Amino acid sequence: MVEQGPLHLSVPFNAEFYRSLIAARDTFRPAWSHSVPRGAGYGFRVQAGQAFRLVQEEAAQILDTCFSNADDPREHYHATTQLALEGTQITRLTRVWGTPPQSRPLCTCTADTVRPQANPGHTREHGALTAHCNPHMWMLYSGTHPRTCYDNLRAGYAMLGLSQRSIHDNINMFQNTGLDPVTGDYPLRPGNAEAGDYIEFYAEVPLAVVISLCPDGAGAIPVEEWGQREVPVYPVRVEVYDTGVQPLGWPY
Amino acid sequence: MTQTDLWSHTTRLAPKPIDTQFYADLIAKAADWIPRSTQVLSDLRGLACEVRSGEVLQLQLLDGAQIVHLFMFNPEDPDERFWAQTSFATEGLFLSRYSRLWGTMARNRPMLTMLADTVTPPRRADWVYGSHHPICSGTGLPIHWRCAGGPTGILTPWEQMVALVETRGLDPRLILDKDDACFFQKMRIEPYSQHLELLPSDALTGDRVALFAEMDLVVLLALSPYVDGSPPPTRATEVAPRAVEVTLMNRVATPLPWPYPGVGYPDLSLYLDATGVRSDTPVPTAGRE
Repeated sequence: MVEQGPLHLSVPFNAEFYRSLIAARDTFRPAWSHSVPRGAGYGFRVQAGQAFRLVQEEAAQILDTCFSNADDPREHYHATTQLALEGTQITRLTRVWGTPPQSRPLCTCTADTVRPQANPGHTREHGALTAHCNPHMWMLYSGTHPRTCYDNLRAGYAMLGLSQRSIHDNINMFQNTGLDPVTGDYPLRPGNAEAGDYIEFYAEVPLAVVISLCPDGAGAIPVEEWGQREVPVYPVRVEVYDTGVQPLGWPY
Repeated sequence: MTQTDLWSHTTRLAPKPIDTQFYADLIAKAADWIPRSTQVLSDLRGLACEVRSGEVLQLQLLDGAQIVHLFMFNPEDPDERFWAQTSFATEGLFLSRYSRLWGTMARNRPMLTMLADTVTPPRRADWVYGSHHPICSGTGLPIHWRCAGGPTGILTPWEQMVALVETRGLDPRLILDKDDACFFQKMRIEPYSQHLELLPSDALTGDRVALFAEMDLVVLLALSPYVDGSPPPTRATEVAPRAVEVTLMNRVATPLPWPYPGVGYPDLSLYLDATGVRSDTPVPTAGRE
């Protein structure tokens, strides 16, 4: 078993298990897929041991994504555990961590096809920290109240029989960000994803996953300019696969 | 109030307007603040403070650097609580003077505003670059302590706060599912891996932070077993937190209304139920299905 972790922390990680899983991807069987229209929210369940992909159908589109334990939504993605154990970005072999007291991996990233362009801020896709837009931000910046991510996540949770109180920390898939090491700010840059790019996760526990196709599109327009010009937004496809592989469980 | 005041954090992901002059005026009158209670926190049991709107909460180091974790919620509606992730989007990772700590939806309003921060890092040649007072750091979690090799039997800040929440008859898993703010804690951002490293704090005895309450709050405070941010000891008996003085000042001003006049604001009836708390009915937002 490999021990990995940021700097001074030692976090158990069986990298070989995931390398084997990734190597066996050709044996994954498609279970179902669904195309989510531009600007919408969507909620779905994934069984432990299934894999799911979030696919860019036409162009870069930020996906604000919440993860909850399908059997107990009080256990959900926890941004600060994520930051402490894995850093600010999600990519292949990054685990997605849940709330205490369990503090366990909810799912593990097994593929990330986005190729970030070099830039002075060293930013890249799939930020763990940036929260989701809400009606307060849109009213402040644009004077309008579109279907914000908060509203989309609320609609997605309603599909699963859960209320807005289940909305919590989220990951911003396909959002291009990174922490400035001096200021601690989190500048947003236009996304690098292209049509067909995807990020894939292996579910470690039964999951309720809710996504919002952000009205900020690819993040190319500063918030202060929202409402001054039209933001292009694009659809996204969800694909779920049966892997035939049971999770390791936690703790090891 | 000028436009510059309104958008004082233009490098931030989601800046929000702030009337800095209002807070500068409060700071200028700090000598007139009158303490209404003082307690010394020096163990790993935590402390819950009832802070009223317009009061100032001050944390002052009595015996060298000591990390203090802070979380808070609305006593009338605990579903309204500190939300580190959205605060981070507006304030950045590190807090300092004029930083605000924001609450959850539906009101998503400022809960505390930082008036004083006396921690001043030296600029010696051997100094390791880092910043103080992070949010979203995760260092108060049991898993962080375990992964850092901390001994068992030590109450982490999260566990201290769980006990404080349970004494109020609340479900800690519904309250403490967000992170806290870590005062006097120093962290470094590794620029390439984008991981955070906990470093020994530059704070000194006498350093303080002061926070203005924008609303009535229950504030939970907990000392870190990392003490000043040094690596954990190998034995539980070696954890000795340093004393911190917690002072509540009598009301110093009436908070400014939120939102500021003329600033766009959503229709909260789309999210609140008849009792004024966030609706728990599983339905989409009306008109935005």
